Amino acid sequence: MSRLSFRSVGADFPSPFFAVFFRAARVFWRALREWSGDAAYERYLRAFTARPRGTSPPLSPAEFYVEQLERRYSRPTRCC
Amino acid sequence: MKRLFSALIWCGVAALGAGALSTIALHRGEPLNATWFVLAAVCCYLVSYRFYSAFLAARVLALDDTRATPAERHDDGRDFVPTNKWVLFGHHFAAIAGPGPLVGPTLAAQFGYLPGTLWLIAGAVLGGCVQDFVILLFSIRRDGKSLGQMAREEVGRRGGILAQFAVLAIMVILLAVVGLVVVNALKSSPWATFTLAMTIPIALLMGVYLRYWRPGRVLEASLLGVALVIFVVVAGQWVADAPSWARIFTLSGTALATALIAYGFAASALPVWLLLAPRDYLSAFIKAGAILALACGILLVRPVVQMPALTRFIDGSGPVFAGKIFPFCFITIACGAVSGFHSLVASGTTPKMILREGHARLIGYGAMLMESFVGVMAMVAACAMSPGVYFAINSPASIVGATAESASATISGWGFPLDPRAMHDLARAVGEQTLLNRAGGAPSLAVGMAQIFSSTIGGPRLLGIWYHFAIMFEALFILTVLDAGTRVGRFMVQELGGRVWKPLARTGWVPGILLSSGAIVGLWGYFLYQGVVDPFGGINSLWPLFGIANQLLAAVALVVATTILMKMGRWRWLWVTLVPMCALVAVTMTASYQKIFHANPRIGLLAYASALSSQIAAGQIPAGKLAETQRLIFNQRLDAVVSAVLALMILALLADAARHWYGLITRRIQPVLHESPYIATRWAEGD
Repeated sequence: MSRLSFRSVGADFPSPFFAVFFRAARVFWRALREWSGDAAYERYLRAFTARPRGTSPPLSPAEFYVEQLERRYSRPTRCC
Repeated sequence: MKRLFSALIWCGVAALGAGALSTIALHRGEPLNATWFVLAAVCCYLVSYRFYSAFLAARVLALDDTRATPAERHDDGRDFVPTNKWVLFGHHFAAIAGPGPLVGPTLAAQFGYLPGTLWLIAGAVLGGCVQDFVILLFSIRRDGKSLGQMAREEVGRRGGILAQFAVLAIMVILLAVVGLVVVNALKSSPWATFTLAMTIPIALLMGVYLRYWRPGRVLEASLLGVALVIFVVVAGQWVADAPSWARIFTLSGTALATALIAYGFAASALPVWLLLAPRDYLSAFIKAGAILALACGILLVRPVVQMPALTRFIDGSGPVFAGKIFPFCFITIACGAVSGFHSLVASGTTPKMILREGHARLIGYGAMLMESFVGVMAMVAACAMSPGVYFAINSPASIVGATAESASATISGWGFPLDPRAMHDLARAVGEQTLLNRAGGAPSLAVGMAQIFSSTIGGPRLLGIWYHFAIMFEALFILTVLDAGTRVGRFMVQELGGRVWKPLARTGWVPGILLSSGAIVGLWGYFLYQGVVDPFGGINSLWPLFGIANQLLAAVALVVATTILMKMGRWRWLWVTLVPMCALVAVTMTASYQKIFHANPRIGLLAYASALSSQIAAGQIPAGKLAETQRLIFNQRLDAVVSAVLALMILALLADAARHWYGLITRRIQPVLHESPYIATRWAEGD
């Protein structure tokens, strides 16, 4: 499951200031990757591994990318 | 103690909001600082989110965090993807916030700042946010079903078919009207046309990068794309300064309309990864950046609002569009206050990604509050410029004349002083040949944004760059709506056409793709073309049609929501959807009636057609313009038929729903809900 943990990231930094700064930066980076779709393939692989469907292997990154776009842009995704 | 402290804070926020609202409502004569607008809006949003949305969540909808959402039950990493609530908030906001909340308030500023601002705030907290929230939750409880499917199951078969046609109608008119906004922004502007044209090869490059070089690496490709877009905004000035290049990119309205139609067809028929998707990524990043920059700019500059609270045009004689505040202010500002289109997104991708029911409050209600805030910022940007300049940019030539001198004389006569030299200087400062007669909202918003941005960074020297950055940002994400909408419209045509002729429904069949793409592009292209050649500027007839269609869809969504609330036994709380529904029906029916039958030719489509016919009969039209006038008459009658069809669709849906509601009240119909069965979540609290 894709979740952003606000507790574990950056806990191993010695200085509290840097720990907070790096934690915030890493959470932001992960959120940005999730929001933009950059992490979509990793998320798909995690879901596939957790619940394999049939015997077919998972899609390649390129196959997954095209298949996901075809589905997303066949229904209203952008509003006025 | 903690309770008392919290009560005190919320009383303070409410009092501050009430104070700010009364300041902007009662202030007359002296210019007003924009900070009051921001304060009034933010305090109203905070109070409504804290109390009204909590009431909706707890009492009306009874959100249940122990109930597994579709994302948990069907988690497949493709459609059903459990997503962090803040990330999903960003997704949902990016999906619902389009050009509407920027353009609508800018056009409605002709009434003064007050009517539009009050409608943006009240319409959102009591109508738009409620619609988005309830439809999202009802879709979550039905495995992410679409509005059409829910209408079919909960209201009846006819309701479902009406919803499907309403979606197609709104899509066609929306695409035409946003196309018209782009045409009016790029007309005779080589800088803006070059910049926007260059975004096509940039998107193609990103498409190939994402498909073949680094599949799915969206951030890398978007970074590259954004850098190139910023470069072409700057390079546009060199193109505009080189006469041989400037000639190539100086296009007339009809040439631009033809180019847009060809682009729409190509984007719909080409593989989605090549052009449509990369442009969407680019647009999402630039949209987020520009909206954030506008918010920071307004807070830093705190511009003075120069437009009066109410102008003389509340009598219905407005130059931007004709008609009184009721109903036309409520039709002009659809997105930003209540937008039916949102119900398609709220019953599309978002319900399949939500982690818990409780998150629907932030995502459904909260994201719409953000969109309303974007609308308030657009209103501030439009009202911060001199009213004379605002009317000069947004009025058609048939009303104020085509030269700065005639525009200045007419607009000064209205009581808004305008120096013709100031218009020339402003046009030169932003790198345009002229800023006159550019109805559509985009250029005036860009001038407002450029003035705010240049007060923060660069001063007057960078006004041209900021203006073209703002035009590029608006045009870029309008084109995203245009190509994504054309593709969705193509699927709808294929689905509806497939019922009559089966092969059309086959999604991979190339002749079917070309035929259905041609059909949808032909439909919106026709309306776009008639808007471009309309002597009243096109916005006058097309934008109200778009508003009516959008509010019609909102009425459909609220009828579905009211029916479901009845079936859930929430009789006491029916007003939460029933009151906004009645308001929207009153607005759309009055607007449709006035657009068709009003005696003023600038409002009533049939009156305009009759006036033109009389001119032909009296021999007042020269022989060379006869065919053009006859086409204009036909277009007015066509628009009247479209308005009538939209109004009849509302009436038919209401009649169907009323019959169903009567059955539910008299218990002749069993209240059967079509929810997915309850399954307890297996995720621990705090996951």
